[in-house]
Amino acid sequence: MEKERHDAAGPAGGTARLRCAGASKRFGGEPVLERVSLEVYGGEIHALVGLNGAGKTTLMRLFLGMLRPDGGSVLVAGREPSMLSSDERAGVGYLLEHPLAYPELTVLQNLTLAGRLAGLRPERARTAALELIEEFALMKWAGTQGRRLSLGNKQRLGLAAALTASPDTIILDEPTNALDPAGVMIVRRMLLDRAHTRGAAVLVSSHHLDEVARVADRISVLNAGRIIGGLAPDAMDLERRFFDMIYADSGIGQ
Amino acid sequence: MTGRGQLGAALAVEWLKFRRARPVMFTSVFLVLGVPVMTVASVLSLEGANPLLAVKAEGVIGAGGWEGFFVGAGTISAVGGLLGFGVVTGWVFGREFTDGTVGSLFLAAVSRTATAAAKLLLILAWALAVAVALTFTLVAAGLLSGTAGGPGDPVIPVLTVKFLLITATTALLALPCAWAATLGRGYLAAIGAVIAIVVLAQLAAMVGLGGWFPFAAPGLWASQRGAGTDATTAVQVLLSLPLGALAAGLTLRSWHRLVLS
Repeated sequence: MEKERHDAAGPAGGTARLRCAGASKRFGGEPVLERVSLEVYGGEIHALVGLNGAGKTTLMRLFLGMLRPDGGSVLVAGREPSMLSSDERAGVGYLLEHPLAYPELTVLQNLTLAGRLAGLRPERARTAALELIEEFALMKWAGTQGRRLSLGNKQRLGLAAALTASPDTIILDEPTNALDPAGVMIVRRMLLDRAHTRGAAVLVSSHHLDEVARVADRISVLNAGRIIGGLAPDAMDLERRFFDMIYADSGIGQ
Repeated sequence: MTGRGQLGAALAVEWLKFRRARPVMFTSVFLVLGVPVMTVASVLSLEGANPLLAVKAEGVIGAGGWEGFFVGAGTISAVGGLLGFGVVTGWVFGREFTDGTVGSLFLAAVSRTATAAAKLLLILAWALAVAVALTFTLVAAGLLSGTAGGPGDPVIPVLTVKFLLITATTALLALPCAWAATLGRGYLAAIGAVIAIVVLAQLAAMVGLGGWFPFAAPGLWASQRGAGTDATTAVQVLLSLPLGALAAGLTLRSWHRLVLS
């Protein structure tokens, strides 16, 4: 059922919400990304899997306009990130590295603030914050300041903050970082709901084939700044095949 | 969202953070209460047991009275204002980098330029409120401690306005700290900039550049007895306006073009 929905919304079904073509980026002369091409369509979860330092976060930073590519193109909703209008920017929810968790504000205040930044009116921002507090099981900490939250709860807060304006494009860098198994299940459920029920385009990264990568519709493997292939999510022995690809690309014996 | 809507939302968001920020609270107390306390202490040291302190205080305050009291307060506020407003300005901008929250301001419906503009507007409004509150507490301290003179002295209104302007001017001169925090990606860079500004202001006064170095102008104006409103001084103090505007403009441009490498 989910597979059919993905196909309908896939390459034949419409324009990619996220698309990069031949994107390259160098830091101090060192290539970090080399001619990376990738597309994410509405209704699908696209997992980007690679070891630490493979370039996953850099690629996501390009999509969010935090960095500019040295070559190739990076488009969000068909436009360069810096050219998006205010309303188009509101349609992109993301969590990269640091969660939106101001230490002096409570969980509820942080989420309300995230809603205002995403363009929601005050009352709507508060309602969205309360709904997300429930979805991410943060009820017990709604009145707790950011500085007093555990790493796991900060991560839940950051994930919730990314979703306040019901974005149709979601970019999450290692979303299960610091989460306990219950938190991982919440993220997994959330991803399936946002992509497969609400039609959002989801790009999610992971350094291993965790529970989140396993719910993806497509898996791209990134190694040393290059996409070296894809993995079929429903294939057997996914972990072994992932490492086979990495080792083969790196020229390392198993 | 319209540009106006973005600025409105940015002001609401920034105000939520600003009013709970410890550096803002500490600096407000430091300036509103600290400057009057230091001024009264300076006057009291004129007749204190320590002759070294008495000589030093006499060099600033002179014979005392409301004139001396305001010269002392203005001199303290010219440095204290730069330090206090500089630290808060640098913190408000730099904390987004230090806390890692700046990433959340990319691709938000509220543009980064609107966020930076809201920060600048809040800082200026807060600084003006602090300057007004400080002026009130200073006059009250002078009256209640009896260190300045009686309430009927006709020079009080003029000196009060002059003191208010000196303190408010330092807020404009502290705006480069916003740019320093942005370029340095954190508030430590801004604190370094505040220290550099204060040291350079002292050096400028010593080498004879005087009030033509804008950061030194409020302090030198404060040291002049009475209103001290000759044309040169007025121009020197007014240089803080283009300097503050330039710092604000550069900060807005940097936030608009921001990349996180």
